[in-house]
Amino acid sequence: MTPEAAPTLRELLGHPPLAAATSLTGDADLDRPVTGIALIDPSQAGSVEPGEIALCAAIPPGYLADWRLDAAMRRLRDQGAAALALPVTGGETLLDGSRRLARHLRLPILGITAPPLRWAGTAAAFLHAPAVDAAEHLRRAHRALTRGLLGPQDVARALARILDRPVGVLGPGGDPMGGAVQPPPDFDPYAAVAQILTEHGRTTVAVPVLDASGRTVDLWLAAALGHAATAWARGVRDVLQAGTLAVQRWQATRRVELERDARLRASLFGDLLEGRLGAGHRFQQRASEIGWRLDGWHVAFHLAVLGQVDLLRHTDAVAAALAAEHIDATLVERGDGWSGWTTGRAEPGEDANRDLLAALRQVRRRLAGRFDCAVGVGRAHRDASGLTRSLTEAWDAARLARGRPQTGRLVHIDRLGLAQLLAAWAGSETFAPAATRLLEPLESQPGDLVATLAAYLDAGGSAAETAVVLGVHRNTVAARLRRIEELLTVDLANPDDRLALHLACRVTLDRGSASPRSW
Amino acid sequence: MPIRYLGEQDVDHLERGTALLGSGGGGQTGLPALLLRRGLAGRRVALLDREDLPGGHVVPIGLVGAVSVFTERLPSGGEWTRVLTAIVERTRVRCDGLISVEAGGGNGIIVFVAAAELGLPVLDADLTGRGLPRLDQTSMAALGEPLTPLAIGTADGRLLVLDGLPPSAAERIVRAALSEFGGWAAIALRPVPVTALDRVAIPGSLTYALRLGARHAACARGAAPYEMAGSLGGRVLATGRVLEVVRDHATAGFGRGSVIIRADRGGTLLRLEMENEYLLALSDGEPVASTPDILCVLDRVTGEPIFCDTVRAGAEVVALHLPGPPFWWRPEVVAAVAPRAFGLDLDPVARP
Repeated sequence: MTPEAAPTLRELLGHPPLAAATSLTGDADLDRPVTGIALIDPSQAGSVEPGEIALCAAIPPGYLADWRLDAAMRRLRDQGAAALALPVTGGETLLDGSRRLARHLRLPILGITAPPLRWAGTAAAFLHAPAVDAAEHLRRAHRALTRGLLGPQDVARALARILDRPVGVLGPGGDPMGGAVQPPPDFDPYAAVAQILTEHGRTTVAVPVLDASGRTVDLWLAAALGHAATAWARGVRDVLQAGTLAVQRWQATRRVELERDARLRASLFGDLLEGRLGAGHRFQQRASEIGWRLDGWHVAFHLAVLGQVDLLRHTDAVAAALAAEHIDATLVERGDGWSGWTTGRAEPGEDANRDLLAALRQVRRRLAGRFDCAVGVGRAHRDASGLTRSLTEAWDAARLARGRPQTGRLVHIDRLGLAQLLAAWAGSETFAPAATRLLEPLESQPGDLVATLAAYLDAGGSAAETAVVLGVHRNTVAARLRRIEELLTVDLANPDDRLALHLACRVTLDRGSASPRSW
Repeated sequence: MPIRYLGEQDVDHLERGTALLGSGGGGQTGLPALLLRRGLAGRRVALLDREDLPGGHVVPIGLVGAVSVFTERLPSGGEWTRVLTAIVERTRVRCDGLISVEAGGGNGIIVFVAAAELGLPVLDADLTGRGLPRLDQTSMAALGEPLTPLAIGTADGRLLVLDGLPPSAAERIVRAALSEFGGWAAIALRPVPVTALDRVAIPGSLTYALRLGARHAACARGAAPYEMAGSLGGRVLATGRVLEVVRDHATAGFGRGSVIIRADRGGTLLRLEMENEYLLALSDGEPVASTPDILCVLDRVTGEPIFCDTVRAGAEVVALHLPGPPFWWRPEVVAAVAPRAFGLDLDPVARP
């Protein structure tokens, strides 16, 4: 072992399997490199090489208070020993004078509470064959981690037991989850590689758990080692990396479970929306099996994600955010986000509604680090059929909330006018293309036929008023209306045709204009 | 050489000198000095050199036991007469004078108290040359000379005469008997022919104590430690504060203890190992002085010697190393008083 690579006494004492040794003479002079272990006799003090720890495997009673200890310290200091190690039992202590002498001679005294020769063997392995030591830890980690399916916190606990040091889980941004390990200031959560960081002599090892793509960090496993030799820190990195495999395995299994559950929920949810979960229906049994409460008063809400997000990855986080705001809700993944509902025996009052809105606002804030979303809330309705209705309201409200940053993208159905709702519904992905297709024949024609049609319908079928609004002659309006009837093969006297065309105009014009009509 | 006399004016020097030779032990000197002043009562005791006595016998005399009890139960007079009479009757020799069993500590003074009581001269010699705790650590014992017959006794009539026993057995019996004698007793050993004194005793030790005491007295209060050490013919081991005193009464024999002194300069730690006497000095763990040499701890301000049983943490002290009696450095006897004789597993540390 080269002198540069030799661990210091402090690092050696910081190695968990060697924790049975502690300095009896304080914190001083622990930073010298240790090159080996030499056995000495308590009185004759065999010779040691510079940098070696002189170990007395057995000492006579009273030795800690004996002058021979002082004499041995002096001889060892003169030979350049790194420290003197002695077996200690509970009762005996060093004399204050010997402790001072050790500091004066700059020769720390280590007290060993384990069998000294076993300690010496471990220390020698640590000094001369750190890879063997690391392999032993890796072997134990392998055994512990393959025993069963372990979640991230379980993996951290298992590794903490093996390493005998705190091991914690950090979020993708480096925030501690559970608080066992605080990341050091120079930890970089955006560099998705294993990091060995030493600050004030204390070493922290952080290893990323990558997602299925292998590019994004899902979590970090981090171990706080205290004073640690470089070789030991590298060994810990390997052990943590074994831990990341276990976490990834857990995540993959969890993902499969989530998808299976999600599929079940989605199919039941479909049944719910179709009104097939009423009392006595055969699906009701399955719904209660997965914990859905269908009787009582329901208030539904919908979280619509803005942007492209892998919903399943975040379902746990959404549930956790709801729980954190004390919202006891059933949650279901849907195409654009999550729907959920709370259930109570009695109809919720105004206060309960206000509290729910405030809590959902907080939920949205909690999730802001992951994705942005719009939140819609439905009214309170009773039983399975009422739930279906509340869910629909919530979904509609969420749609509107998307375009309403001024309300914090959170909208309650009660705050909406019926027309707005209708229009918003009409602007849905299914209706909008139909509207566009309905009016398509007018697009290529001279004269602003769509605007004329919209103005005419808005004016309640009055051609004269339409002419004033558009600033054209009344005959021009009449001519355009005739062409519109021909092109679209519709009858503007027919109320059904008028309704369909009116909605189509609203949707088309809203979509075409740069700034949507404000509500 | 004219015959010298020891009078009251000499007691102060004698007390200082015997305390220094005690190496921290040998028994406190204060009370024996008080007794001597009272016992002299204006008279003088003759202090003879070896040449002043052409022949005859001298009897080694002194006190054995715990000095702490000595201060509680004072000599009532007559104990020296009883033990001397017992020895003289048994050996049928005439006692021409007394020598001290031990020049270090209280026994260096007690011999004059006994001489004043008995009206005998004191010969300038002793059996240890310093403070030593055991009968088998006398010069006679070390040379294989018998100590018996010996007698211990008290003023109230208790008397024990031992004969035909080797020194180690005599030591054990005397030590065991002391509790029956009330903790301490007067002792007289086998008479020594004056002609054999040069061989089996340490001549000149009382004069040496007086000379040492005179030099010590001459050093002004608060004298520089190095000046005092030079004047006493020794060297300074450390000047500083006593950090820690540990006494382990559990170990066999006399209680073992350690004194740790932190030197003012350089932070050097001086550790003194002690039983009844300071036995070994380690400077930063390195042995620097040991028996048979003499180790003294002096109060830094008054210069007074501090005994092993009164040294305490926090005291500002000077630790001195004085040469021990050359007799004990002789190869054939050194083992009797070397550190190993006190259970300290190292060779005597020779003077640098």
